[in-house]
Amino acid sequence: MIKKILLGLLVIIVLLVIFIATRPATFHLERSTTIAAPPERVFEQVNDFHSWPGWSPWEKLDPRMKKEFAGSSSGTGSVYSWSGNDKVGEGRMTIERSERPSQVVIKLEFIKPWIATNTTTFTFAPVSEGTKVTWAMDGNNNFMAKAMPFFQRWAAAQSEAALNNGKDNHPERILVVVELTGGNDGLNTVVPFADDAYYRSRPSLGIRKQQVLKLDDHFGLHPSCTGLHRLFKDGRLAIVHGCGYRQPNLSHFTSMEYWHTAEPHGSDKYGWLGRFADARNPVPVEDYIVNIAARQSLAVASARHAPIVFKDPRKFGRVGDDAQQKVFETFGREYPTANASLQFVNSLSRTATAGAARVRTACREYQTLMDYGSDNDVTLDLKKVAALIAAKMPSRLYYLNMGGFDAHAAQSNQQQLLLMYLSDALSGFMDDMKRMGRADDVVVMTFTEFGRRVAENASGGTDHGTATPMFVLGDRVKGGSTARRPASAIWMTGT
Amino acid sequence: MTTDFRSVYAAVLHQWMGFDDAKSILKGDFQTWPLFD
Repeated sequence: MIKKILLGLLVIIVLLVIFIATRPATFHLERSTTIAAPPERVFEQVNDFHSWPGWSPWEKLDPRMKKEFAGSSSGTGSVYSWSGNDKVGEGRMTIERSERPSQVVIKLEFIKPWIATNTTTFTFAPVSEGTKVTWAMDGNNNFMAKAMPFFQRWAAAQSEAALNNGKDNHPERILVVVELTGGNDGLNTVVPFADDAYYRSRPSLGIRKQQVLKLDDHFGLHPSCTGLHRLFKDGRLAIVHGCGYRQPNLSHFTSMEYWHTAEPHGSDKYGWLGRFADARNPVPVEDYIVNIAARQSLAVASARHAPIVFKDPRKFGRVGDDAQQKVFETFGREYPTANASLQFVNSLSRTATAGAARVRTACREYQTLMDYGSDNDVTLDLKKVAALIAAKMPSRLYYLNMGGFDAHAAQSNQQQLLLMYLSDALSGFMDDMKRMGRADDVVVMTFTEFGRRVAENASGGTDHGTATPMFVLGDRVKGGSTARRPASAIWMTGT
Repeated sequence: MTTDFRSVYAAVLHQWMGFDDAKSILKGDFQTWPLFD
């Protein structure tokens, strides 16, 4: 009986070996999709391994995966090694050929859980809808590969997911949000100079018609907003008038919380940008959110993402007494331990340490000849954003704030200075993006927690109001004003 | 007030960031303008 069983098994094994041995000696897999972006943009996402976390599903299979970059910073000769859990294993990719913007050829070496070397080729072809991206994998079928064809199907499925991820997510696009803290006076920012009610309510604060930088026959920008005026004339600035919410709250703190959470008269411990980051990337993407500030904003508070928060890049890192520094140093590098909790802390710590180092290096090495205006808070902060974009950080959401807009007294000079700083900094930043070739990828949005009342007060200022204009600017913005013609200035503020 | 600020958020999320489900982030459906080319 046992002899018969063993004989049967032997026959099965022999048949299996014959079947596997007769399978093709090579394999070729291929998947394609169309992405709504020019080939140059899509090519950049593949040609630079630093950009892969923004779109590659492999990155999401193990958020604590160890990654190392070597060789060139991008293109031919750049190397990306990874080591992670059972789902991602261990391996190395090397860009062997890079032909801008049509092809990237990558040598793909798997080390664990099995050894294999294949060639991956991305090709980018312009089509009317954008770019047709084709991923192909070629290799030799050794005995193990023949026995495990499921691996090839898995690789193809992952690549298809990657292509569709890029298609849906616009992985090259960046959003910069600038918060104007204190309640900027929208009426003296976008001036309704054709409205008599405006001048009747603001006999001394009203901006004279002859001074405004005209947008059309009804509105003009504050005379210090020359940079924004240029962007508007170029069709790169959209102005959305009268933004607010029902039953406005005139407390700075409460109203700002509503804008941060996007939930007026409600509450949420996470911000709208943090929730977006989580929904977009269920498995967190490292360095996805950057908040240039001394303290993290509620707007970027997230359940899964840990925003990079810093004000001074030179001091960005861990500080503490001698004992604490020892702990930071210990956990900032590889710390072999069998304890799962310690492994997790070590992984987080190493990630944070690496992020801090990247930020410090990027800001130190960044140089520009673009004119951002005089050095002030918003100028310096936007230059930090530009530095991180220039360094090709995988960050997609940047958040910063500019204070000082709460002008209950002597508003004229104060607002003039602030608007000049803001306008010059924003136009300089957009010029800098153009210089870097990233103007098509970056959009800036500004907001403030509320506007000011129509009528000026007795102290030469204005008190808390309700609605206010928002600015959206960038090369891909449909410039202009979204407003209907207002019946009066009161329409703009809602007071 | 004539524009709920979440309309601008929704336009940025959907039209710029390419995120189809802005409704789930903003907890509501908000009218948007074509803000981007």
